[in-house]
Amino acid sequence: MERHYKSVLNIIYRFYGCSREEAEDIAQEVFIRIYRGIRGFQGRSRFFTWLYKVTMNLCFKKRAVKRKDIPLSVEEMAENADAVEGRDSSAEKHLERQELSRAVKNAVMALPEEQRAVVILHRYHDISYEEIADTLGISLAAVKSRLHRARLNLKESLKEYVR
Amino acid sequence: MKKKFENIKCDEVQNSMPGYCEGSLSADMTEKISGHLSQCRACAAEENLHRKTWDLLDSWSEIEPHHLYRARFWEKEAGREVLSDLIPRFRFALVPALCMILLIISALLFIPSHNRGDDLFTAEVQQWKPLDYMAYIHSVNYSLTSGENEDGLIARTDVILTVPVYLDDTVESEPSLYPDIPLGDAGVSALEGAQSVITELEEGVL
Repeated sequence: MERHYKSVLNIIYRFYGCSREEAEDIAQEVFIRIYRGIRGFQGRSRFFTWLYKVTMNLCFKKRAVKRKDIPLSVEEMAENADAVEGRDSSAEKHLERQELSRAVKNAVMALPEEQRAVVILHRYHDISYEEIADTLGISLAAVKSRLHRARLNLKESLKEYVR
Repeated sequence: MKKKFENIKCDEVQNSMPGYCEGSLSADMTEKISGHLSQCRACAAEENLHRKTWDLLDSWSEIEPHHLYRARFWEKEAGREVLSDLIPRFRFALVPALCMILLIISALLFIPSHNRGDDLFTAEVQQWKPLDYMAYIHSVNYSLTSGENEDGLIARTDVILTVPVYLDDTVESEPSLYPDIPLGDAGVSALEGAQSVITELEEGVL
């Protein structure tokens, strides 16, 4: 649990763009399912693939939490501020960074769910194409195609922020 | 203006850019695109845009788990264990309870629609027994003494559950309470009969 909790939490957090509390609730549910179903795990795939599969299935089931334009949560603002602290103390840079973070979040959230799932797993969790295909139950070609389209969409959404 | 360097056109390069940046193209294609990029500024700028966009995603920082997440997990798990212990204990009662609820609901929905009109009344009225009269009287009397139409509705519910259905329909068809439901001659005479019994009851004759 210690090893994977943070990953699962962040997958949920980024997939929904929800608050930390909401993400924590869903992550807890994922681990309760894993805990209850651990005897059914047959070891055919790697443990974390199974874990992510359960996570993504739950994410897709709980689509209702979805929102369009989501402001940064208090935690995010605090974390962004911490990250900036020491490196750049100017308030202007701080706001700029928050704005960028919000733009990225909105761009990712604007992706269709199937593209967003692939981007989150690949970009933020460094999961290989094969493992993503296994996790989402899709073909390797579909993974590549979704990633391709997601990259094009993100490029369009974020082009004004690229320098 | 479309250009062609290294036997590959700008359109093709730009369409393949996500795959190129991912490193998921074939070696041959990758080599062609690399050659093209070294000569074409527009496509090189496009590549730069793709790579920087991808790097921008780091701006959305990750979150840390709540420091009590383990304790919360075990608390939730313990709560579920209590539930899962209770459900097997009462599982035999669950099915009959659900069946009973379904039966009551279907009776409430189904019975009134089958007891309107002369045909049903004629046969049943002739077979009334004292017990049926009493049940009927009880229900009608209930609505009369309360003096409110809403109470007639409550009485109807009671009757559906406790006495034969034609009695309910007679009550339900009482003109002053439910003028929109066709009563029929037999229903009217049944109602009149019942009302005379009520009168006799009130006067102490019965």
